Amino acid sequence: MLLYLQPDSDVPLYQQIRDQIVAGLATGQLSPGDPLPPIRQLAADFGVHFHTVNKAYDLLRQEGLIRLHRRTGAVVVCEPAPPEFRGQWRERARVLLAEAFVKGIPPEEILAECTALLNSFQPANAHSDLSGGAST
Amino acid sequence: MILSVHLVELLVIVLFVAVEALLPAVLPETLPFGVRVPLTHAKHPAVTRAARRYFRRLALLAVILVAMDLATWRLPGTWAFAAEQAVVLLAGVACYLNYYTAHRQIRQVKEAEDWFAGATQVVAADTRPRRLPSLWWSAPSGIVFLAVLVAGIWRYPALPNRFPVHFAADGTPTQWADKSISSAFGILMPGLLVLALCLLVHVASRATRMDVDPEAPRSSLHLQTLQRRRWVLATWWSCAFVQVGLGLAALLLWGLLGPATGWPMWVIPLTIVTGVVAPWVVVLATTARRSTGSHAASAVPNVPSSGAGAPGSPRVVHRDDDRYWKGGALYFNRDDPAWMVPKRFGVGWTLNFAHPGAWLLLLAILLIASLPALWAYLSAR
Repeated sequence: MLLYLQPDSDVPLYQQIRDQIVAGLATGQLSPGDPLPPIRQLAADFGVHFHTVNKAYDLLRQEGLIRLHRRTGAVVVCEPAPPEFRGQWRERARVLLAEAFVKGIPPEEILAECTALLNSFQPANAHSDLSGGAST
Repeated sequence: MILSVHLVELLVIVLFVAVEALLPAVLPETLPFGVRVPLTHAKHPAVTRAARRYFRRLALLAVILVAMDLATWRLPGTWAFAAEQAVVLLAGVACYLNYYTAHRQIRQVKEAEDWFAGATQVVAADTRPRRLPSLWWSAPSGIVFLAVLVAGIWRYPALPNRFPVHFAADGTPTQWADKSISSAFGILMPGLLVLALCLLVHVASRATRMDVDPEAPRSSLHLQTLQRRRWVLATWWSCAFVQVGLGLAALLLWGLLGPATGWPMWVIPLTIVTGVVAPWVVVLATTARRSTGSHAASAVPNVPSSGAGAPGSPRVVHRDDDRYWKGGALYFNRDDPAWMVPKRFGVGWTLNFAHPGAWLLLLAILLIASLPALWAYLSAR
């Protein structure tokens, strides 16, 4: 999978890395068991500081999406979501949808966008654990 | 001055020019003369114009430099050597200035017309694991070095108590040394240092950046993986040649090759110079870009992830990183943890000079590289 960083964007670099890996998992570009490069190698490839990639990997580890190995990099996993996940995610979705709503995008269009995005996702083998039963 | 040394110097100059002529065909379209451009502007009139002028100037340079070099042959003795070194140096400087002129021309137009407007600049990286060249490639060099060492150990008891260490052009000894471990085996130090250096390059190559071009991710990755393997292979080939050259010098010192005249005096520098240059010329010739058709065919970017390159968003291009390349040739980037990066205009790697260690490494390389030249000079007196 190819990761893209926009150095001039407002979004922090570690956030960009983390977001893309999550999206990659959703679209099937990454599957549980796939390796991720060692932190130093990815930092060298991007030309960014070691700590940037370290922070991104750390975020993913806390979310249960990767498991870190000392030397060989990381491995994508899909650990089941903790019970509070659903509530936290709902709160973030509420803000996201409110942003579009407040800017005057009609609700049908918002829903259509959401459906289109969800349709672009492909379930991987252990995907059902993460989504907690809610499928497309 | 020995004709053989003249020929070696002439060869160096010719090779300089040949490399400069072949390089534009080897480098990606999006990097003409060290200037980062989006794929849409790779064939811009300013680029083709700069290229045309570059080759015209290069042809002129070739004629002038060869003429100057041949002129130095008519000078007496030591003047000829110094003059010839000056011509070689001039060749290097002239080739750089030729490149930099083309570089500046393209860059000025690019900045005036803002070629990157409307495109999202990104840095791309691949998450898949990499196949790395095996350390077994060091075997030929190691074997040659060990063979020479064994020959030295076998010969040591039979060495006379005082043996010559420097020779005049006609082979008569000019300097003697007392027999000891350091005087007999000191000549192996450059070989060992070169071995260590090549090992360092091999190991460091594992940590260099794979510079993915977002406009042609698959082909740029494939090309760079191929290049990396070839560059490491070329490094070890060079090392093996150098070991043979230095090994012959050691055998000569130990009296195993007969008197210090005739074939060793030109075979040794020729082997070393050929070894340092030839594998890289081969690499250059074999990695020349095929037609641009293959580049365009794989220009379909990877399935876009969040943000960059998603359908409907502006097109994604490689980040404009010209500002990190000082003079279009020296890489200086404090934020970049990488020590070694691919050269901007050339084959192989260069150092990230924002790291202080890079300067030390460069110094070490220059010292090692100057040792054989020093030896050749001292034995040609």
